[in-house]
Amino acid sequence: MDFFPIALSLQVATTSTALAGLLGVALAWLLARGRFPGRTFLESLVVLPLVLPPTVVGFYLLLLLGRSGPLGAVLEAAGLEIVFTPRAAVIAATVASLPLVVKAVQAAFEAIDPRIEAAARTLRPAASVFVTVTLPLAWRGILAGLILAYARGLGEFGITLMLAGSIPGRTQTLPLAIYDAVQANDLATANTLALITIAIVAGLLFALSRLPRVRL
Amino acid sequence: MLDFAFQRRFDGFVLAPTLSTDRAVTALYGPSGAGKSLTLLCLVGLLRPDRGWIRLNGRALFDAAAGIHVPPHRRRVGLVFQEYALFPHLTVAANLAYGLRGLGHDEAWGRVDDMLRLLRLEGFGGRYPGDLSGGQRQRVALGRGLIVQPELLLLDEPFSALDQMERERLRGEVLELLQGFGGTTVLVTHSLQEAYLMARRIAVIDGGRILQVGSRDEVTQHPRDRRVAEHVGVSNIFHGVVAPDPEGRPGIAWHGMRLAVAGPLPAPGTPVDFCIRPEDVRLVWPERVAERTNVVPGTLTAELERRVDYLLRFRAEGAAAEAGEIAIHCSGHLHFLMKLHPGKPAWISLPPDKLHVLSPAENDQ
Repeated sequence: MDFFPIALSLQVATTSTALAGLLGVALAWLLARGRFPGRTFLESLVVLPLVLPPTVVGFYLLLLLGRSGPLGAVLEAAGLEIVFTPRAAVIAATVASLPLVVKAVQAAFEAIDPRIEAAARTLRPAASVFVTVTLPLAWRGILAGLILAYARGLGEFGITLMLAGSIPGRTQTLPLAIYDAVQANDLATANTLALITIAIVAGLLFALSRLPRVRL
Repeated sequence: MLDFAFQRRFDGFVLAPTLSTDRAVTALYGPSGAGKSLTLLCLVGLLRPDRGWIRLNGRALFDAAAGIHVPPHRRRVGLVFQEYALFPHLTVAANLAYGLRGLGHDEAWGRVDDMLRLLRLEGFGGRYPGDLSGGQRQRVALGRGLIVQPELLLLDEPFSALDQMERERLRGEVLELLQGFGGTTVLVTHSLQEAYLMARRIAVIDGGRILQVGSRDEVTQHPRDRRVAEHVGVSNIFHGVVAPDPEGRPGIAWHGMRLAVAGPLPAPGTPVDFCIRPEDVRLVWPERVAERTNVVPGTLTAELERRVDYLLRFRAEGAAAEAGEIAIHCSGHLHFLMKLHPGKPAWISLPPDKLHVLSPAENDQ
């Protein structure tokens, strides 16, 4: 049996979770605390991958990042090939999991009493307050967002297929390998891969349920 | 010394307070929505005014013209919120030490120990805010603000989250703690009683503007205009016309009577608002009517028995229902001796030195 899809999916999910985590926390902060024109538009844009069919999202990403796409051409010139590479799988997983991080973290930020941060701001600079007060008080929400992002990254199918294809040994992730195995009537392989997926996700959900609560 | 005069526009509200305080505790007193908390946020630097300036002991914290806007943590301004706003994820000691980052470890923890002693919270350093009572949390919040030795301490409704008993005990404790504090304190409150109890000076704020500043007695006894009078609980506000008596002594014509007034008055014929506190209205025994000044005949219309005294409503003879209504505080003892009850005819006296003439409300634009 080929274990490449498992290794690739774990790599892709780890990278995309890190990216979605960084980007998601920043976006969540902007949406939770920022007052700027276009805030509502940005909020809708971020949630879009959650409500649109993955093939639609994947299609437009393909147009954007393809060789002749506006962004793809620039990246290509810079020597960065995206489409049908493992990088595309990472981008697909990041886009799919970003809304989950943003929603969870934004809710966590909004649950913090702004007066706690205000009191802290009189004692330390803003950046220090963010690290020592805001992040610790929101950490449960952040962790929950990251775990959901990891699970989503692991299971990403539609966008990945559009953007990265399903090249065995190169861009074929776990869900794509399962689909391929079923298509080839190799039910034993499909079953093994599916069980491994279930085991990983179940472990994550268990970890999520075990997160200690912040004492208040 | 805190001085400020600034303006900030919000949707449908303009905040434009002007104030100058000394080292004593100053209460910023006003109803909710008056702009009290927004003023604090501007002072502390979390909101940036559009215009004006804020100076603390001569140092500019904000100056729109000079482009100065000192960030909150460099202002040396402490902020204590209602509900305390302690850091729930940090211990009491770490809460206190939060603002001491620049100090060395020994110096910082030495100060934390001193503060715990001062707050009478020795042994509580390792606890979390969630383990403390309301009063203890309040003390930690105060200590967290004071430990950095600010020049200005801002208290935002610090007692509103407590029950009655604890509130009264804590006000005393806070005053005690503030005695050792050499800086300026501004207490925001919507309770006149609390303002009077805690502060030597009261600034009355409403509609985003400071209406009057003065000693607590000045503001409560001599409100400048009708709006301030209403805010400081002077329920008897009347409208009359300046009319000196034939000898030229100051007086006000009101409901066909001429009331003698002690203070200076505008030119004869000028309409004026004047007021008297319910506790300054005297009930007059029928046989003494001739000996008193400013006696008003009328009828008691209602009474409200309180724990130790009565709140009476009195209607002046010949006066229209609303305009001639006077509230009177009277002791239970006097109420008993005079056999008072609603419907009984009575005489009251409005002592000339207690009648206070209000300026036209210039803030009513």
